[in-house]
Amino acid sequence: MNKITIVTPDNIEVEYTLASLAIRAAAAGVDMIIQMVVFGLIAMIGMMLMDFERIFSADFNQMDYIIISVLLVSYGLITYGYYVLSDIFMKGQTLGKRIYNIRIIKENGEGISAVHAIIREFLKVTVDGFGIGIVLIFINAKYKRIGDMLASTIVVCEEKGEQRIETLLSGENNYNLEDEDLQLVRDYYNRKDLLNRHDRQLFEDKVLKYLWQKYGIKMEEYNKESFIQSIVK
Amino acid sequence: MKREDQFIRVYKEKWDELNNAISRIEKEGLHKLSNDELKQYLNLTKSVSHHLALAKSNHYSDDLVKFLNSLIVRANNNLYIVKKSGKQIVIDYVTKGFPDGVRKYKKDILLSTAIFMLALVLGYILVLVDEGYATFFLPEAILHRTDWEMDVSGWEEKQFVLLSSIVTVNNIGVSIKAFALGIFGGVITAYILFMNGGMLGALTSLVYVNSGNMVNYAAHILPHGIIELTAIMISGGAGIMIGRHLLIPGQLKRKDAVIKGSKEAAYLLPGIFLLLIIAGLIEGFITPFRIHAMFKLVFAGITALMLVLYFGVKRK
Repeated sequence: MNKITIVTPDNIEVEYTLASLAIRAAAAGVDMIIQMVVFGLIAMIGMMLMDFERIFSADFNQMDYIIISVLLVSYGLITYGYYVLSDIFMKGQTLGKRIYNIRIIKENGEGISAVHAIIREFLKVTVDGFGIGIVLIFINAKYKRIGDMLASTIVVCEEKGEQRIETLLSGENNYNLEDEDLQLVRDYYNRKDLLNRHDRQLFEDKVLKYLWQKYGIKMEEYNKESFIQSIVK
Repeated sequence: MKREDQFIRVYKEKWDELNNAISRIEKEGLHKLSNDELKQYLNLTKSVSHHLALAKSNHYSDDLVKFLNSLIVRANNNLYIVKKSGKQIVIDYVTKGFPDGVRKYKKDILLSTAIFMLALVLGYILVLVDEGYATFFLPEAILHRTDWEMDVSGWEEKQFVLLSSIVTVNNIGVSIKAFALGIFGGVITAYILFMNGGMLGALTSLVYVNSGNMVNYAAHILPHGIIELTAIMISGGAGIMIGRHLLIPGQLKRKDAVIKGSKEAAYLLPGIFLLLIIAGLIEGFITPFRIHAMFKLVFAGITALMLVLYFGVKRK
């Protein structure tokens, strides 16, 4: 995980996690599928409205021309406009980015504006097509495409803070552990590095199972670590 | 660790409040908040920012710092994105921002116009010397064309929509390329301008040599051409602006200069699109209309006048 520290306008240092290349590629993939599906749908509706016998005999009427124009304009709009418009209206996200919880922000931590979206995304459809963007993204320390460099933007992960609040706030004595149990956990915590990984896992599970049963604590799998830490504090 | 627990207990409510506010904004959007709620949100964000700074400087546990950090990250995402209402921005941009921008960067736009004009004259002269040179700018098929009189348009009325959308999408594509490819020091932008200028020059020359009926020709290209070329010149200027900042950064660092140049150039693009859409509508629906050439030339004159007024007159 690549972290980056940004000083906000309030003069507070905030840490962001840069979105990894894999996540960005996945988000881009989702966006591409969305683009294709949307255009596919429009094209299908258009084709259903057209009469192919007439088309093949090159006898177009007004309606056919309108349908073809709509297809053409929507194709242009989807290729050139999809990213820019969603960046602007979804505050630096596209649908793909939203699914993977990543967002484009300026290097100073502010949200991006239309100008940034234009630079970023138009360089994507033109310059990045040559493969330059892909090369640069690997070289650059902050995973910047050429569009990111020109617009001075970065792509960061949006963390969901809600999950952690519970473990954090359940604090030391909320579990009302008896002194000897507390001592047990502390001993384990202080000496756990002496055990090898397998034994440690085994022992940890035993201790936790005992504690959870005794005090009726409901704990999910993922925050064993924080649970122990919250007791040890 | 007692102090940390105390810290958490004291401020827990505020964090919960901010958390709820963020969740609400993420779901409903900022504009649903009342004035007081918005102020409250700002204050909350500020105070929690300070809690973060405090937690860091007191070396509180990693979990706490991470939690506060992500809270602030989410709060900031909503905070620094707030803008004026969308409609007002668009109106301000069209009536003031765009023409002001064009005036401000007229040097780059004049340079792109110069490149275009140079190619136009060159294409014109080359084709006068030998029609074969026309293939340099134009597809070869054009040499086999026999009808150069152009007194009626080849397009039927039912095809106007298609014509209009083809040229609009194509022109917008060209303008985006002219802008974005400016990153190669403006060289490719200059090439795009040069080829387009040469094309127009060669075509004009071919018409002149083969028919001499320049009035019909002018009626064919000018009604939309004046706006269209203006827009292409501006997009060329935008590309050149990026290239210029890259090559001649001046007092800034090269990287910062390019970023500055790109932002200023990108600012012009929406206006360019607007002009190109207008030009595309004219090219589709007015230019091929079968009326007397004089009417079209008058119309072209009006578009030129409008452009001069639009870009020439400063608004407050």
